[in-house]
Amino acid sequence: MKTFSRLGFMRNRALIVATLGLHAFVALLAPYLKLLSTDAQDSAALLQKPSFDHWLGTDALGRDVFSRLLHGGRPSLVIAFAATAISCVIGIVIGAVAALAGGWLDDALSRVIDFLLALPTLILLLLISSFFGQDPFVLSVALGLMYTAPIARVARSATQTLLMRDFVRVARLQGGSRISILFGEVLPNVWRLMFTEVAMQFTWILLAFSSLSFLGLGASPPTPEWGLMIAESRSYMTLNPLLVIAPIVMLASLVLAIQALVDHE
Amino acid sequence: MTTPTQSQVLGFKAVTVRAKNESRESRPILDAISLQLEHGETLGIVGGSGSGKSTLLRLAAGVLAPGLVLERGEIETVGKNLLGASPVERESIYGSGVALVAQSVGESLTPHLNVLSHFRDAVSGEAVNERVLESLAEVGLGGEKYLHRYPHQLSGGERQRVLLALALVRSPQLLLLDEPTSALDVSIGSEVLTTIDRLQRSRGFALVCVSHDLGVVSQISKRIAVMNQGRIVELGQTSQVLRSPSHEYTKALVSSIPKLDQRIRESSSQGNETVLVCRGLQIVRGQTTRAIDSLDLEIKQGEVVGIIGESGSGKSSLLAAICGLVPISDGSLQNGDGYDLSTALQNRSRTVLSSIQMVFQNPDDSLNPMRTVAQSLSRYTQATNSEMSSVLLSVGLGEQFLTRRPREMSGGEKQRAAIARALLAKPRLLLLDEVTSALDVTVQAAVMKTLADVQRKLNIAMIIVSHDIALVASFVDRILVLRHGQLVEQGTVDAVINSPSDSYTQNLVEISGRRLSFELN
Repeated sequence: MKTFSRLGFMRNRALIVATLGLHAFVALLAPYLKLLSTDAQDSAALLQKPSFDHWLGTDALGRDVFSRLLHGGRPSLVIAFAATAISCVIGIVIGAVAALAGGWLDDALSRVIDFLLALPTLILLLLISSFFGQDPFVLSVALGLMYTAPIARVARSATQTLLMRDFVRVARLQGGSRISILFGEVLPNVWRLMFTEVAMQFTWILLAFSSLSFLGLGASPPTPEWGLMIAESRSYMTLNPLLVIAPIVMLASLVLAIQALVDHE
Repeated sequence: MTTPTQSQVLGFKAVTVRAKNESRESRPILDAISLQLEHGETLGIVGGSGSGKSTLLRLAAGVLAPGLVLERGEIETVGKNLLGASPVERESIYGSGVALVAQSVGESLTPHLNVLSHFRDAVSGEAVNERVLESLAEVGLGGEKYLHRYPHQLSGGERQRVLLALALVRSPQLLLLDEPTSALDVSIGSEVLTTIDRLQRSRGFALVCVSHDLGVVSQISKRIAVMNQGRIVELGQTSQVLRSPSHEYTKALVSSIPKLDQRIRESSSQGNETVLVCRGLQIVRGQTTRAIDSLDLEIKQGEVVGIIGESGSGKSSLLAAICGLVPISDGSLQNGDGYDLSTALQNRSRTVLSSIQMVFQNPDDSLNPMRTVAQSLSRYTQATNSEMSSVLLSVGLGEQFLTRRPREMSGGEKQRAAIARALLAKPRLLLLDEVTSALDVTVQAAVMKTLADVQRKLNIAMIIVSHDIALVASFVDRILVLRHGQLVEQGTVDAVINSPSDSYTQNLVEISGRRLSFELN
């Protein structure tokens, strides 16, 4: 706690919002900015140091690092958004139903959640993507399902808390059915309790996808993607350290900014 | 440290405190507060929620909550400006100069430390055990057994006494108390207050006690400051402030306190129709705890019954069982038509369900925070807009509240909306579980008045549960006294209040009488 409070940037709201704004701006508008091509290879300019033409230099194939860096967040963000949405919908439904139903259904669903939590995520993801290929749709669904369990667990306990609230009791006394209580009283409020968990899951999924790319099973070349960029350039790290440092900084700043924002709420 | 010749232990000079991001035009949290306290003096500060009384007390201890700024003024505690003091300097003053006993009795002791370990920072040197024993005995915890107890092995009253001993062990010149009895039952709170009063007289420290309850502060302070909206609206001798209050707010505050001999609702005509019958009712909570044991109760249409009891008496369990939220374990529970009320909620017909409605204690919890009042009111009752408006009006809320959300309403308004929602179901029996205990005294009086009007107009039966015997006595036709799940006494208000037969009831009545007879102080 003390260490964190010393890290001033984790508490500076303006800085956090600015970082997130910059990331959003870049991710949304990268294709419309007048950048060099991300794929054009210049065999006459391999592994160059930063220059006026190539602001962050070039990689081993002579591609512009700056341009690739700005495009590099898009694949991970799209997949992280999709996977988070999938895990939220399934996780919140499972968790809320388990808490609302109670009894054997709660026990059964809770054991399924425990089972999913016990699976080694990354290894399973490696298996899935080596079986089904690097299709973004498959990866989103796989990541979404993998990260359903933590969401479901938090949704279950959030629902249990809500069920003890007086306005839910009154709804029961006034003849509300379980379904109408679920949709009318529980779900609108569960969302507020879950915001932190969902935002954290989003960053974990972001990191998981980048890790997959780093291992060669996420984004496929020549797509510019931060994890993949690190993997492709790590052999040339000594020649141009920026090749590795820049994507790390982008990924880390995005994840830290999201987590810091959540801490603020 | 302080110079002994100085007679002032606490001084506020035109102190104004504001929320950080608010404009200059907004109402400050503390508005030009000036007050002085000399050695050995006692001061009580009363006010409703949001009046600034807790902010003031914390400032006296040198603490300003994050998000607040001291705009103007000076504060001097035992001769020092604690706000500007260094942490080391403050630590030297805490305990020996000024000591604070915070409000939440449950959270102020560290769960994994026993009582003796709590004193370790405060008492050092030789014969620690003896000195701790001595200070514990002083607050009424005699015997070595208390030394090695952990917080969870102590009752609420005992914890409050340990906190008091901790605060006093280094003989501070100034003791600050924040709501010293709000977490305690009436009888235990009263004993704690007696202890505080005795210690103050024998030790002679200065005392500032903050409370929403005039009865509490009047018992232990010679002077009273009444706060409202960040200002001290009245300051004077306790007896004078209470006997002849000059400010409008103080007048309202004094007249709002429920009194044993003052009715706020006249008894109405009761029908012959029965709305609830229970025979030999038993409710078991947890594994074996008997929350209610063999209770017989019959309620007629239009009758208002009050149930008094302290925490653990089973009064809330009884209400929860009557409306069907808690299963009964033995005995019978029927409504007037002979319908068995041990049926689970989901198997009851809508008519049976709506015939018994309940209003809960916590106004912040009783409305769905995401919905407007209109949505909350109509979702299960299917009431039309005009029905809602007229019921809202009858509980003292205008039509404009239909579109409001709970966060835009005060505690009293929320509770009124919750009552309106219960009424929209057209119940024959309305259960009220400590509905006003979270509200300020003035608001409480207004809400009870509204309930009395509603009862007279609709002639519905009510069961009102409260720890406050005066409040119940001023409102109901018949009183039931519960203790540890047993009915110890029941009868008309007159019979129970004027000639209680059970010693437990006698005690409750006596305390309640004592709390309100400030003139004797």
